[in-house]
Amino acid sequence: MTFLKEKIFDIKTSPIDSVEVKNALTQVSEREFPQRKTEDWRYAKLGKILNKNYQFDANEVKDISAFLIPDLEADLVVLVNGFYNEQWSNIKSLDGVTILPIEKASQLDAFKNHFNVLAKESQEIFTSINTAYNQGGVFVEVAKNIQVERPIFILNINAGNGVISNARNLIVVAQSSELKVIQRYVTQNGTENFNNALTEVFVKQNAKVTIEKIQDFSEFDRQVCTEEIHQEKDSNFVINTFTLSGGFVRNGLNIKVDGTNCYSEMNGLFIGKGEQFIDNHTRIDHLKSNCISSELYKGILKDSATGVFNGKVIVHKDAQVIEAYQQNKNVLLSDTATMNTKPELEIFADDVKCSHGTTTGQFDEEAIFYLQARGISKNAAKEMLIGAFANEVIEKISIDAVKDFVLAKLA
Amino acid sequence: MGMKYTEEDLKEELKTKEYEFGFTTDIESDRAPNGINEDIIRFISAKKEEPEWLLEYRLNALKVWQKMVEPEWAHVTYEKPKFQDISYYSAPKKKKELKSLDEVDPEILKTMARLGISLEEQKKLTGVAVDFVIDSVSVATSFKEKLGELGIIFCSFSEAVKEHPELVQKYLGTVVPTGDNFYAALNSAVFSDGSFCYIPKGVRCPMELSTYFRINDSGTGQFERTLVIADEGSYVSYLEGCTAPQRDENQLHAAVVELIALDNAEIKYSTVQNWYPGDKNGKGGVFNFVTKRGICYKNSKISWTQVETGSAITWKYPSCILKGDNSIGEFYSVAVTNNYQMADTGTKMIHIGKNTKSTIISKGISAGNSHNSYRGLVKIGKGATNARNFSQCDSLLMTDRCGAHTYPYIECENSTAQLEHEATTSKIGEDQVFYCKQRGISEERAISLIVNGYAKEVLNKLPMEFAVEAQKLLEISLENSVG
Repeated sequence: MTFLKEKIFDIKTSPIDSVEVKNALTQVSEREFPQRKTEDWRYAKLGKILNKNYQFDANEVKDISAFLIPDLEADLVVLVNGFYNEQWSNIKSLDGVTILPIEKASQLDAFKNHFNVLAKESQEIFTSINTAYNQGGVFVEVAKNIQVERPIFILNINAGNGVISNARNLIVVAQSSELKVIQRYVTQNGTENFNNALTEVFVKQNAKVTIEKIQDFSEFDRQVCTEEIHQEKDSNFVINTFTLSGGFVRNGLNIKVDGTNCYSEMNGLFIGKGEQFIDNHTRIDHLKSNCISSELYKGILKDSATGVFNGKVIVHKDAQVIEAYQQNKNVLLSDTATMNTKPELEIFADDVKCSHGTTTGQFDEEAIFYLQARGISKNAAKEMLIGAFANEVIEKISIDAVKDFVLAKLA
Repeated sequence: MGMKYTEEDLKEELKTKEYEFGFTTDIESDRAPNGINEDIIRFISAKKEEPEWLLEYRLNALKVWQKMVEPEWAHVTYEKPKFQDISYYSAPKKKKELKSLDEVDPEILKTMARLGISLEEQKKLTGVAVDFVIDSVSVATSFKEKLGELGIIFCSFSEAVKEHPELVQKYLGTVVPTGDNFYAALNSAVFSDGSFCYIPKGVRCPMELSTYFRINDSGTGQFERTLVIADEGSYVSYLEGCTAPQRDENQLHAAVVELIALDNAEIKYSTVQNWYPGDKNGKGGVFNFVTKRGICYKNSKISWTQVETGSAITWKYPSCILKGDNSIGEFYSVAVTNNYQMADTGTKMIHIGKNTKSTIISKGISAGNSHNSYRGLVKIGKGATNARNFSQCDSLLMTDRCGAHTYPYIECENSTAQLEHEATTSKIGEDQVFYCKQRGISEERAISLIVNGYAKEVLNKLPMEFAVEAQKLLEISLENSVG
């Protein structure tokens, strides 16, 4: 049993034998949970999440067919409540591609050299909790010069009532290789589960990694989901995040662009309904020159949903000739919905072109009128405009089956 | 001021590269002992012959302040002032009631002359009434009679407390409450003097009201308090500008400005701020921690325009509470930082009423090793139907050692609101400089041309007299700054 608020965790610690886990345990005891005044968490009401007596449970899943993506050809990794599930995972072995449960990978050099390297820089207590208490996850390594055709589909399932899970993934893509990953988060049944997943990704020189992330936990589940990315020179990284459901969702996406001539792209679409809270925090650190980054996040908020977008673009000293673009557009469809936006630029170099733009509003009355004048009902017109609004992000998905799936989800 | 400013004048100006208003006036002053406590507050209040309610107000503020912690969220670093080492009151020695200019201390007249605002000239040539403040106590006021005919009250704050206590008591602290923030609380406890302005119903103030502030006595904190009330249907344009003597010791300035625009009223508040920014190595300079806020009632409008070039540290967010339906808030700002200056400035637009509109145009220019941040909040409350905001925050970088930062907060709780925010950060365009040089314009001139063009949108909003001064300031501030 585990009391989050009092930080009483009598659950067993991570199976990974590493000094990192021990350090993280110390951090958990030293760090405080974010308060209302903690700047990065100012809109998040954590009370409900922290004041819960979470269970710690492997649990069984009887059928995963409902969670699969139709027509998707992929290696399947199933994580149930943060445990690697051998029964449902389905991996075709491919030369140069290693896919292993982290506990089995923990003695590999590639694992040891990368595990927690990025996450340990974080000041977040949730990150320390993940490092200290993860019970599984997947390690993916792609050797040099391999274009992996088959994407890897990591399916995270919450199964149970009030279960806490800390899935921990590590992805290392070596020089001049390519990999696509799909991460999906779903609830099998039950309620008030807390998913605290963390994925570290290393994109080596001239490598290319694309992540398609789909979050549709039940409206009673909570999630703090973190991605820590490291890019070497000439590399390319794209992540598309679709938050379609979930009670409380907090996404933390941190990209360190630590090489010249890199390209980074972050896109997101979040749709809030009911009492949902969706909080997207992104941060990109441009540490080296001649890089381009682009960001587009769109939010649609209905009912009493609350959306948060906080994007940070930091151009460090000596990182010259940087182009960084950031856009956030939101639509409020109800008078009780709320959107809080904070796009930030921190620039310490002078030869840069950086911009951000954000809009919050409702659909253009004239556009609705135009459609109505053509015999389309007001509601249908609105639906049409929502579809068009969302489509700009959905178009970015690199795998057709996933694109169709997200489109079908929205219909 | 009022006179034509030509290229030749600019040339002359540019020869004097150092901060030109850096001199000290020698006036004997009454000084409170260093430190802050209840006795000091009583001393200040007694010195100013204040009524009991104001003393209570100050004492309460002291209690509130003592419980507060100095904020650290701004993107600035500095050695925190030692609040017990500051004298909280200093005033030029009061002789007797002044009847004419002859009675004004010649030292002060000399200072004014060097600032280019001699009172006689002001009176004769321009339509500007000047309320000249040296070290917290207003010593000379002009045009008072002319304004008096229209029922306009424009005087020092202390005078207002004596002559119009009902107005002061009614509005003081209503826009910036005592506990609003650390520096506002400090100001509420120890404010020395400032300006008070009241425009009666339906009156359009015929001239720009102008106040010159000046920090004078070594080691003295400045705690100005300004209260501007525009009654129903009235209009006023208010100018505030400041220069300060050059010295090494850091000086604290924590002013509070409150604006009240009642139904259908309009207040235009313009500031040119060029306090001593510290020397080239970042030594010295003024700490400018100001709370400025206005409240708009029905159909009213408040417009803040600021040109910020001075101070070592600036921490300033002129804001509007758009309480009344159809009210309008505007914020136009140019902030220049050079050498080791740090500025964290912006605005808050709080939309409460229906059909409220706000516009934010912020232009930051960073040079040298300075840091320049825009920090702003646009909040649309639940009831603010059809609210509209447009924000534009641009940053220009002059060297590879400076920083430009934007922290806009946009919070929307109403689906009918339309909010737009855009920001860009870029280097001064090499192609633009090249184009100018090709046409025989020196690099220095080219840069000032480009910078002035960049800031034009804001400078255009300033009253004529100020626009000229502001343009000069931009050029002086950015001399030799391109790296």
